Amino acid sequence: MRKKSKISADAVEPRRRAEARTRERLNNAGSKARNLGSRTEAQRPLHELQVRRTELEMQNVELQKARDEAKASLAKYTHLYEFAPVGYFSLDEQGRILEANLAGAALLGVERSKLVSRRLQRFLAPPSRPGFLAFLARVFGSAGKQVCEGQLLKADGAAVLAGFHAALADSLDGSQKWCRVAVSDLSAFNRAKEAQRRTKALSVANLWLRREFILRQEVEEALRQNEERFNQVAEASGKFIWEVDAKGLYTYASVSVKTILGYTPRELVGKKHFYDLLVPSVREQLKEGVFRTFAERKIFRDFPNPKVSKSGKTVHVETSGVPALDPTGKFIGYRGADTDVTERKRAEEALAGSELRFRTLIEQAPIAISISRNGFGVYANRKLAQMCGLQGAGEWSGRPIPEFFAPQSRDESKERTRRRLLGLPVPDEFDAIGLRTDGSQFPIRVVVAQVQLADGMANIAFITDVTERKQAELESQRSRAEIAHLSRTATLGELSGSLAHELNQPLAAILANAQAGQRFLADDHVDLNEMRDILKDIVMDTQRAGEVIRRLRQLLKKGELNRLPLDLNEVVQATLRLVRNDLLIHNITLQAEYAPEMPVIEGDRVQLQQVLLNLIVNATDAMAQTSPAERRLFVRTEHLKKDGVCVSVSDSGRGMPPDIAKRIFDPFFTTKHTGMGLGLKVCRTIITAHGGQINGTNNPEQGATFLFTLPAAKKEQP
Amino acid sequence: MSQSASTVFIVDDDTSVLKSLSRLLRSARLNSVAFSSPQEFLDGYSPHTAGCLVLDVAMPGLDGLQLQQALIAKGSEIPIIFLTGHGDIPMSVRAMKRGAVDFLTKPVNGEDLLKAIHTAMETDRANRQTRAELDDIRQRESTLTPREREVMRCVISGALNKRIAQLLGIAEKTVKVHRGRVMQKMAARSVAELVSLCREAGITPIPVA
Repeated sequence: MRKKSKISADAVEPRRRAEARTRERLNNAGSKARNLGSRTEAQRPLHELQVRRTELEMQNVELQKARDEAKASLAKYTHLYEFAPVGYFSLDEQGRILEANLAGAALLGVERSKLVSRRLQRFLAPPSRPGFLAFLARVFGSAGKQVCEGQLLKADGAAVLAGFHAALADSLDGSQKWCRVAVSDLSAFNRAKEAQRRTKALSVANLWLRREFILRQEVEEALRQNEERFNQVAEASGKFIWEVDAKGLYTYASVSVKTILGYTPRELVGKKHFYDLLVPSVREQLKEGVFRTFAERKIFRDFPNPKVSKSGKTVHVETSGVPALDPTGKFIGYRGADTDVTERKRAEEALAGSELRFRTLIEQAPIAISISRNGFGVYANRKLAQMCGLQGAGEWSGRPIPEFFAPQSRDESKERTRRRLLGLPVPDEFDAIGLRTDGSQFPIRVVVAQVQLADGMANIAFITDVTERKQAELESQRSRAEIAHLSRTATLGELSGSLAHELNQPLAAILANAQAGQRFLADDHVDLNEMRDILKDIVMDTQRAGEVIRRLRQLLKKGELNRLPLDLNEVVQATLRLVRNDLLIHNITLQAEYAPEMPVIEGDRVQLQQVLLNLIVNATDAMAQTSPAERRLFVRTEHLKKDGVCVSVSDSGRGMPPDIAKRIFDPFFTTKHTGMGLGLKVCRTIITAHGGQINGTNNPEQGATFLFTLPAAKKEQP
Repeated sequence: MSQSASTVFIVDDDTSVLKSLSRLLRSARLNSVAFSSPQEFLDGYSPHTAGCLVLDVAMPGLDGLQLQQALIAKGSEIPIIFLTGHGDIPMSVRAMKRGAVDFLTKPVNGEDLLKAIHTAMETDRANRQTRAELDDIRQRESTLTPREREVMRCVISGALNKRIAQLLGIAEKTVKVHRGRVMQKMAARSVAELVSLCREAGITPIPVA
């Protein structure tokens, strides 16, 4: 009906347009028409026919156009219908398929041609069928759009959840009712929907995750830093930091375990129990103890336990641990640290051993040893106790050190302590007189060293009873003096011997000749020729004797110098070494001062030493009457400005009376009972031969100083 | 004087000393022969020459003491007077022990030297006489047959003929014959004299228990 009315309405429009067209046609022939106005009446039916024809022509064009449009539209819809992603079915009231598009066939997994006349419900899973039939009934019972869902069974047996949208279609001829059903694969839809939902959820989650991630990254970075720091500390501390679970299985191991036990953390975590690393011989015992501790949740500290490293070496470690609890307070194991104490243990053992050794060594040493601090005794070994007549070492400790010295050595002892306390240099070797508990005295030689003991600085002294040595020294000194005397006499003897021989020959000849002459003269008959010969020989021999003396004098004067480049400081040092003992015996304090950078001199080492010895012996003799405490010998070398050197020997003796000072270098002048009066004369001869000078003067306050100068060696001229 | 038959040998490396000493000896009318080195003396000296030796101790090469030793080794008994420039006691003791007559220090007084020379000459003469006597005894002894010598050595031990016969496994009569010959050959007038001669000549008795 609607269609009919529409057609009639449409029919009005062509009529109006046809009329307008006809009018235009007429207007084109305007003047003719007006001219023909008079014929209007006659021409009216013709006009009507013309309009009608135009109208029909126009309708025809319209129709053609409409048909083309319909055709195109049909093609479009057919295409849409066929290739729509949704399955379309046309069904009759019984559900028989009248038509199906390709998607529908694909959905059912059946070729399209085989679908027609088959009931769609046959393709549904039995449980879905009643719902579908009810849905169909609803579709055909009302004009509205109906929806239902059901399980489609594809030809290959796969089940697909499908959604059905249906609407009743206009029957073409009104005899048969049919409907159109769009079937969509809900599983895909659901999937998509799910995917969409999930995507949305995911994107939200993602956002959170991103935030979480960033946060975690920061946390992780902090953690990483922390861990790195921790690992570094663990590494640096040399401790193996660990965590074990309640069964003792490692759940964490710091990298430092590699250094201590040779394992990497990976080799331990989850693979080894702490007790797996224990030395087998004590493993069970220790394991039991540890688990007892675990059971009591006790904290343990520095628990010594020997472990075996990966390479099989025993490593002594000390382990500390605390129970680990999860956030809910449940016991999950222990965490703690292992410290490698192998070295320490070894050192301790060595120390214990060596201490015992050293204690025994010192206690049993064949030399007396004392330890003192700040001038008070701390320890005396057996030998020292024996030497001093102490009842035991206890008598040594706490007593002032000077008490162990004889009164004459006490001041020196106090002085040494004072100097030591002030940090001044103290001789590390000295002679003194010791005191026994019975009051007797004995000479000792002390070698002392400052040592750092566990409880501070202390002096350790090695004391030798030198009674025998002193006696031996005295004896050797005496015999040395004898030898010196003998050799001097021998030299003189030799000199006089050769002198005598050289002189005796001519003298003997002279005497024999003279006496022979006397005898001849006593005879009655004197052979004058004989007498002349005798006198001639006497003269000759006398001259010869004179020659001998002249030659001898020359020999003495010249001396035979063995000149070599010398370091005078060294010569002085060597000489002082020779006399050191003599000085000690005479209680003379020696002080030597050496000029730095002494020029090399040229000279006879032995002769120069002789000069020095002579001066030192003289100085020693000069101090014989001086009180022992004041006996000082001062030997000093000097570098003179005008390219020479000077050696001085000063004593604190009695000095020289003026009349004696003038004559000291005269030959055969002496003030000594045993002297020959040649010493200084020889000295002067030697020094003069070296191109130097020697002089002696009294010191302003006490004693005398003898000094000699020597020129520096001439530098080699090119 | 018998002294003039003796010679004084002088050895000194110093020619003027040698010359003056020779002159001194000449003034005392002594024969002297001078040698300027010990070796020269050793080469030219004959032990048969009577006399003495004046010897300087200190000489190059062979010194005085060594020469003395060499002379002793040669069997010479020539008396030696040592002269030394500086006499030292050990040296002089050694020299004297080996038979030096004197040890004089140079320059030596002429009188002392001459006196020492006279003493030395006397010693030499005595030595020579003893030696001559000894040589005589030895000469006589050398004429004995071995058996006679045996018998003689038994006789000087104081054994009787019977015992000697027993000891030597010969007849007592034979011993008597030998004994008579020994006394004759040795020119001994008594057993006591024979014993004395044998002792001088160093002939030892055969012990007869």
